[in-house]
Amino acid sequence: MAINEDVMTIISILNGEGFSVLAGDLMVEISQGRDQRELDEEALDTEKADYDAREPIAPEDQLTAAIQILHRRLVAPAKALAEAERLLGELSKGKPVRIRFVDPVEGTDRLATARDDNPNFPLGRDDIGQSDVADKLEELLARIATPGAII
Amino acid sequence: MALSSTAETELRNMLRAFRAAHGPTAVPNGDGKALEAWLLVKIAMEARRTGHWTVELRRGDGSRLPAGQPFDLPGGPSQLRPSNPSGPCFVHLEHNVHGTRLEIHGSLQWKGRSDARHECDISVIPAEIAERLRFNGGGYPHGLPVAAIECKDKTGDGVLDETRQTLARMFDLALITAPQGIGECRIFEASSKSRWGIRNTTYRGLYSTGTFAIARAGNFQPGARRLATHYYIATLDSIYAASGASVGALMSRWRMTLAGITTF
Repeated sequence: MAINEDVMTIISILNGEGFSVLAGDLMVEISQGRDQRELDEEALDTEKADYDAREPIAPEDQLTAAIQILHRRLVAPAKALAEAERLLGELSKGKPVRIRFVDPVEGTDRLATARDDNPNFPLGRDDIGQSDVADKLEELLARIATPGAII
Repeated sequence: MALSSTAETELRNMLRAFRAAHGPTAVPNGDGKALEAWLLVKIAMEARRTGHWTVELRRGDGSRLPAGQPFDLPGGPSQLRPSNPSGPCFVHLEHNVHGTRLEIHGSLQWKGRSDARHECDISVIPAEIAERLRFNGGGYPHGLPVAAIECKDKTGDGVLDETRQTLARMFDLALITAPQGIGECRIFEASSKSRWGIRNTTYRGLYSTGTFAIARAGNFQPGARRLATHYYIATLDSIYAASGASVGALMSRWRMTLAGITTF
């Protein structure tokens, strides 16, 4: 089924802002549709259990589906990482602990995610364990998903 | 009706801010690093919540992580590195009564019977095996981890082939027959021939002891779920869902693993 104009606009914005993998995934997910099967014995006994059996998403439902995907791929992981930093703080009986992903051999910040070194980082060192930007993105996505909310 | 120009502008600005705040770590590319870190810390917290385990954050040389220092996880697949304070961090667990010690690692590669390497997004290794590796120049543990959790930061459905891949890794890691020159065990370190755990003669018998799971942001196809369930691999769908059902299922399995650790 064709992707509607709103979703195509979001895909284009994602691609333009450096989220090209997500843009591609969003296009695939929306165009392939949703798997509506429930897990029950009846479903397991059908041939459909072993292959992709998605159903198209109606054009009027595609924006909502796209927003759900963005939430799961952007907002939820960012919040989860912040929660992990807070939990590490609890484990070490102190403040939240920054999580970095490093080159396992060099021990350096392999993914160039050193937020301390990023001049564009808006929140400074106090961001550890915080998800302010993800919270704001969540609010924006909710507004976009609500028809007429942003004119 | 198309998105308004206001909405487009707001979304562009917000994505730029998001990228600046979180960097590539939170930009989806299928690596699932944020999910990996989250679940790794969750199972560490769960161990502490049982009240039976002392949980500590450790550096790459096994020493305690000093206050204010970052917790560094491997950004890609890795062997267990030689002892080095700047190497990847891990979580150390020690039972308060029987003294069993475990380590929780991210992106650790294990070696199978074929000698092929298999990355486990999150895996739990006996501390005595990890220490042998760490203080003998590094290397790969052999055998089936105490726990192995695969993290899929994907919203699409987990297909049957994905579960087959997980099962193939577990098949290669399971020491159903005693490794030559080592003897019967669940896990071993090759250079020192250190062994841990007991052998089980069936795959399902081995998989039933331990925590094995695939965590997904999305769902699973029914056939994939059926295959995984038969081999005691938990299929954790909608892992970020507010209900916390999948996280709860993982923690339940993990608690059982910890409670039965002396029988491994």
